Formats: sequence, structure tokens, C-alpha cells
Amino acid sequence: MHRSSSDIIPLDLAVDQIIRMIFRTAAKKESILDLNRYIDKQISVKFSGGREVVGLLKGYDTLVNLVLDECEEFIRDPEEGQRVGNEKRHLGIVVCRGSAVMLISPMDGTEEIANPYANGEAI
Amino acid sequence: MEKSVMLPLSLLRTAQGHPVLVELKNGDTYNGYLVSCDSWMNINLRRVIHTSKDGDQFWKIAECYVRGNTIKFLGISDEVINLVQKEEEQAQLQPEEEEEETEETEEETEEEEEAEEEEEVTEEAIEEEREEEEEEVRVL
Repeated sequence: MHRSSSDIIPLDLAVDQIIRMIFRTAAKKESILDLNRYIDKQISVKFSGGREVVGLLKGYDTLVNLVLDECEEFIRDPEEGQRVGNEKRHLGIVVCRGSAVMLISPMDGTEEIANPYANGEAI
Repeated sequence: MEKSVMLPLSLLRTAQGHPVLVELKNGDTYNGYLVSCDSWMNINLRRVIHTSKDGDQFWKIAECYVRGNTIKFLGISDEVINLVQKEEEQAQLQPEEEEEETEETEEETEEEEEAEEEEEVTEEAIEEEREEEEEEVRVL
């Protein structure tokens, strides 16, 4: 019995097409976040669950997975989960998973301030 | 005149350049100017004031990026809502012009896509030919 070749998709062709599809969608969706500006700069990253770290951004990808060097995590109150001052623990070089990254901000231009809303709501 | 619905993400897009309040699921709030947003509600803020959950600590941050899925809600000023209504009115007053513009851009993108597809088609055709040749050889 003869089987037509048209109903069989060659595996290598299918793989090739899938790869091409992935790259095209990645190229078309331009991220609103330009992490290139933060390369080799100190950034603060907050994670879902409450952890907070600072480190030098060494690399990233489209899923916002990050590579941080000289990374330090802020120590938190074990009960309240809130930051306790500026006490830190050293982590070294780390890979942060994008799905857990909640907030990214550069440390340059970040400072703790007194209540700016003391005289009625500003902004 | 029928009043059209206000889509959350289009309101957010209109709020770009205006001050917004962002409360995260963990209770922290961020007040700042909305720079950009995308379809996942990921946002960029500038000139931010971050307030801790219990409202006793404050930080000034030059700019920050917030992942959309951690947002509880966004506070948007009344001027933006007025702006949306004005934009809608304008869109209804001059629908022809806008349609033409969108058509043009659509055509452009379509052309690009077609060009890409053509490339693919030729590559596929070549590979298919190769496959067929191989089969013929096998049959022989």
C-alpha cells in the first residue's frame, strides 16, 4: 500500500519552523524595559514573596531572568517579613528567575526620605 | 449617542505621562509618572515615591519597572479620564482620517509579513523537493 508523503511532516522541517516562529515573535514584541541601560550598574530587585536584593546587573534575557554579581540580600524580620534597616547578607553571583521578579529599580537616585505627604497628599 | 466602554488597558495607555498610584499585592504603593505600559500591565515609572505597606517608611526612586502580575490596582487622576472621553469624541468626529492611517500601517506590516512568508515558502519548497527526491531514490 502506498502512503502519500504529503501527510508526513518531516521532523527537522517542523523543528526548523517552530524555531523560526519563536524568534519572530520574540523580535516583534519589543519590551518596555531596556535593561541594557543598567548593565554593570547597581540595581535593586524585589521578588514576589518579599525578598529584596541589590547587585550589579551582568546579564538578562527577554523573560527578565537576571544575572547579578556581588549580590546582597536585605535581612528581613522573620515574623513581619519587613526589611530591618540596611543589614545585608552576601550572596555573590546569582541568577534571578524572571517569573519571581516583581520590581526592578536602579540604586542610583534611590534614597530613604521623610514623609513627603505630611502636609496633605502631594502627587 | 451610545457611550462606549472604557477598557482598562487603553485607559492605562492614555495615562502615560501622567502621575499614577500603583498598589502592589503586598501592600506597597508607588506614586510616580507613568512612562510606559504593555499588554501584561508591566509598567515603567519615573520620579517615584515608594511607601511601605504600613505607611511609615518612604523612599524616593528615580525610576522603576513593575511586573504586571504583582499589581493590585492603579490610581489614575481625573484629568486622564477626561482625556479619554475627549479622545473618544475626536475619534467619533473624524473616523475617516484615522481609519486611513491605520489601514496604511496595516498594509505596511502585511507587506513585510508577506515578504517574510515568501522567503519561507521558497525554503520550504526546496526542502520538500529534496524530500521527494529522497523518496524517489528509496523507491528505486
